[in-house]
Amino acid sequence: MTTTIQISKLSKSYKKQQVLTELDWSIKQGDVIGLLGKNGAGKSTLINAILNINPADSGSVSLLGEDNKVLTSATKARIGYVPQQNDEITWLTVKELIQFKKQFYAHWNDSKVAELISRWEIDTNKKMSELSVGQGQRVLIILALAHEPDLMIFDEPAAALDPAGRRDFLKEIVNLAADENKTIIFSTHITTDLERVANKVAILHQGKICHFDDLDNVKENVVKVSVISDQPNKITIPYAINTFQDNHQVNGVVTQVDLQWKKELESQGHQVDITPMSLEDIFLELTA
Amino acid sequence: MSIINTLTKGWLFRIFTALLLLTAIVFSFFWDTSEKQSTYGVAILILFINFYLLGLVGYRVALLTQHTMAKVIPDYYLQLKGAVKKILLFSLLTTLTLLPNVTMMLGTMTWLLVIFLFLAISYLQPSVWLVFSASIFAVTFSSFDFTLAETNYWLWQVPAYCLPVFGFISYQVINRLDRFKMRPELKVRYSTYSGLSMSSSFNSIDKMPEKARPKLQQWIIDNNLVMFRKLLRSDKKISKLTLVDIASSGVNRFGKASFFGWSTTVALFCLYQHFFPLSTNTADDFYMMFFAMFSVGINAMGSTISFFTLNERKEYLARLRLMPLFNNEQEFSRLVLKVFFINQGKLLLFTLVSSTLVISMVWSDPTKLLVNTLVINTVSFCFFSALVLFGLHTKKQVKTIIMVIMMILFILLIPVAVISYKENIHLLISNTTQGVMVIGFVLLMLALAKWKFKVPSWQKLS
Repeated sequence: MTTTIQISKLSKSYKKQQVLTELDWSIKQGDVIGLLGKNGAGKSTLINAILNINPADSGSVSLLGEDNKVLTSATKARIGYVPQQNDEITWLTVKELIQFKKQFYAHWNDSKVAELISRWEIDTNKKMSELSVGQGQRVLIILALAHEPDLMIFDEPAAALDPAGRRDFLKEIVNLAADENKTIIFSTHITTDLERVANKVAILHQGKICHFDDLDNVKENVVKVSVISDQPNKITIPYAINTFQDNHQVNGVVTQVDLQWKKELESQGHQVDITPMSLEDIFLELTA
Repeated sequence: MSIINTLTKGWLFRIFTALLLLTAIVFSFFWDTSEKQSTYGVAILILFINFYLLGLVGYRVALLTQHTMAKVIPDYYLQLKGAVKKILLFSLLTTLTLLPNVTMMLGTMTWLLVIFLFLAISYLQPSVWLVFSASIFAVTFSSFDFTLAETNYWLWQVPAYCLPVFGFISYQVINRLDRFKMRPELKVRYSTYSGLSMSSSFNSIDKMPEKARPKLQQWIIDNNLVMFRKLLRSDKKISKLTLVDIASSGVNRFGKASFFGWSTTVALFCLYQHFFPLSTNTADDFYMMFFAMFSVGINAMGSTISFFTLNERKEYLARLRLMPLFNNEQEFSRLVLKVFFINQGKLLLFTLVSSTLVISMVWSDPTKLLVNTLVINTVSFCFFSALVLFGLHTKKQVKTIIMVIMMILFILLIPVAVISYKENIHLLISNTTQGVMVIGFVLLMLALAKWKFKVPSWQKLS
């Protein structure tokens, strides 16, 4: 599979605060990635740096095979983006805004736009300033999908949507993801949304992608391990990101289960329990 | 933070008020107060300062009276009323600069209370502003002589005797602040105006719900932008330049309706002058002052609006420049620059045409004044445009600095216009003006060079 985005040593700071620190990341074509991170972790900064909306201080980003600083028109036409905040032109009606945005692209799927407008019951005669936050967000999503891009980046797209709207939006992403050529990145706080559509999860923590793997692998590998032993002080859990002792029990969250170690402990008479965790718990543990 | 601090928050607002007060004090010391005209000057300055102070503080008071938590915060209204009384007292004390003329001081105090009461009414019923503006227009440009004894009697002596009555009414109004009921749309509108920051106000108007905007303002906005809407509703291919123009336009844009409004003002000005020609020096001075403010003000306002709209839209423009329609970043930046200069050019042209009209109608020997106006407007165009371009190019958030410099320039250019007229100075042949013009031109060229050789930073500024 070809690489859609290649990020190398990307750094960005605001005043004295370092947000991204020599971040490396490689995204393959067809990946549907949920980007998780705490508030202020730098998800939007990373997305903006990838798209060169807010350029990074150092490092390089290759988008669809081109340097993100000098993208050709053909490559730009293959990118769709939904910002976190709706800053579209407030005085235009939805209809006018669609017409405005259409002018920038050679290819524009009018029927797709009409279908989404009707499905999401958007009054196209209303000005953007008259729409609710959720409706405005839906318009942004429509605008990002209308030119049928190959790479779609959504910055917390579902944050302002009601549950029905979120479900509908996720359904749309699932449909898009069915096309193996499409690459989708969406940042979110809502882990259940991510579990519904993403095939990969990336966790941004302390300026770096601290964890990036297939969603299934993440759930399979990042687990809670408990060891019951008479000599808990002598137990060290491999790959543990944090451990704590409770009487005769040693608990820890691991990023990978060392089966050999488990077998050895069990053969020595220790009891080793492995408990799967929800994605939300995994996220909290990895970013604790 | 005490309520007084909340009501007067904003260092720019405080500095501006302090500077104006200082000016009034300096004037009262250096002007010959035995001369009626000079005392009137100080009195009018005092009234202007307090109108500004009470007007802006009033928006906050009006909003605080509607605070949702007001009913559950202990002594909320008591403290609010106390703060308003203190600010009003401070405002009245500024009239001390008029001493030893006690009648004038008391008369000015009454006028201050009238202003206070007018503002209180205007927060409930904003349409009174129309009546107010019309009265100011009529009085300011009327040809009556402010220095006549009869005018003095009605303007200061009678009000001086009325002070206890207006004092009592004002006191009662403050004590009834808790009964103040405001329409919800006004609440939204006032929270925009009460920011006391030009940038936040400009940008908030853009985001303000339509229903909260005054009808006249909404009509102007709709008509200013109607040509873009028509274009987008037609199936015509729209040029890149127009697309960038649309993206860079906020609801504050100067368009058809704004130019119509300003043209109507100019026409009214000329008509008024036709029927009530200037007969005194005092009226002539007022006219000149207003005219200077009008022409420089339009340029300053246009530049300020362009700057704040583009500055606020930086992230949006950053995304727009990534659209496949633009070949590269340089092309996009060139288009933004072109849009900016086309809009600035329209403003300059309008100012010059209307200035020529007014000058030839009002003054009998207009040539020198016309040339001076041309010089002042060219200088302001160069300086304001250079400032906007420098401000937009940088990676730092410099909106406050830009606003302060623009305000200082605006304030400086008005006396230049008035003094050059009164002292019969030819600005074009003055060495100082020529120097300033060269500086302005060089600054503009430097700003343009900066844009040409380095693509501006479109990143969002914190």
